[in-house]
Amino acid sequence: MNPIPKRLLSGLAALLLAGCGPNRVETPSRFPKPVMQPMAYSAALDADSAFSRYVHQEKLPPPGKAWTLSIGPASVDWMKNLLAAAFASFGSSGGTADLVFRPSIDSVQFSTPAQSRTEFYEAWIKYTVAVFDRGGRKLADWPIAAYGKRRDKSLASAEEGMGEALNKAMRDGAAGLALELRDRARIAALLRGPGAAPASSSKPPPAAGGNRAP
Amino acid sequence: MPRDHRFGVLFAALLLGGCVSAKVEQYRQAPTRVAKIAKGEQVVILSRGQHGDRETEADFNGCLASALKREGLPVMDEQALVDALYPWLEPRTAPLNADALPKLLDQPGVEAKIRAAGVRYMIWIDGQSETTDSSGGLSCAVGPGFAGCFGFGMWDKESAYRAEVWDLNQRSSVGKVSTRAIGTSYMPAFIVPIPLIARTQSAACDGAAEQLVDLVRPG
Repeated sequence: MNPIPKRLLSGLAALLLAGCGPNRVETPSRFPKPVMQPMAYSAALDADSAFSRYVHQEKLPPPGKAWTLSIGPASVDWMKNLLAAAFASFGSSGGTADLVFRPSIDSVQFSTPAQSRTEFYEAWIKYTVAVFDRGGRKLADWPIAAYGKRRDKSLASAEEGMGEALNKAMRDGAAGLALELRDRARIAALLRGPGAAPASSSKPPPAAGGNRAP
Repeated sequence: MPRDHRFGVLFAALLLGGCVSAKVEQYRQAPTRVAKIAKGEQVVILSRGQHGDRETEADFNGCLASALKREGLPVMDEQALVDALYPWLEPRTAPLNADALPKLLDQPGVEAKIRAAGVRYMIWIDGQSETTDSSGGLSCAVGPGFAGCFGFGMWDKESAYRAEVWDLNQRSSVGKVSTRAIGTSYMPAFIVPIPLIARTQSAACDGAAEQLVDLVRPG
């Protein structure tokens, strides 16, 4: 076979097959620097491979397509980004950190404009963040139900719409975790142990180095 | 298309163009004295994102921002402020009413960021445009040497938006504006479809902008 038609045929076949394959979405890891006052504790993120490589696969009923959503890498990014801003010292492994955050993903759901008959791509991610002290004692389980949506107008592709909805869901997850961490007296009480009365909110633990925001 | 057909289409468009209408209703609730925006200060237009099934269209906010800028009001980009205050202006954390504004401003670092950006007024937009009724129908066909559409469709559209203005210096709401535009669009088709669109969103945008400029006049 003449090599040029062969290449053309191969390209055409690839294009045709691409149309039949699943929609693959790599969630964009775009997370701004959080405005947080760091607490004078050290923290670590203990993300296992089940979390950091989490992929959601789902085949929609016809005429819908199959979707492969990469959730784990961007989830690790937003948690690192938030925890690094919320604590004076942050690392990616447990070690001797005062607080160790061990996240998991309980479920992922999504919908397309065709499914929901709206103009939106929507995504839901149900996280649980388990909090441990340096001795490995579990202090709390924080469920965070994150939601994001993106209007389908002016999008280049369905993958872009779903990726943006997932990015917004992760920003919402970060907002949920920030609310958990905002109550400094509660964090101090968690570290003191079960049954400890929350410290007065007028006397929170000292901030490390003051406010990071310029 | 033959010349006589072109004239026919143009005549129909002109004739039916007169039927396209948008009715605008405006409402303003504000004290008589609101501090004029000073040099170096700006406003930001923010969308409510808490509703699961609806969200103000980005192009409405864009239209409003352009209209305010034309009147000399400096307008900060919405996403730039949302990112600068991350994660405190996300749908979950953004204040739902002016009573919750002090809690946002007292969050460490937030007020400093707002001052650095020079934002004086937050304008919260809630609302959307939607088709409320439709009737008629079009059918199109393609054949060897022929393609065309025939029929007549019409639909009603309503654009309803509310804007609330918060003064970040006073930490309170200083006024509310609502605007509602309704209109009927037509789509006659005789070989070629002729869309005659009632621009309700644009009318609502102009109405809201007029009220907002009057409320927060450039100093």
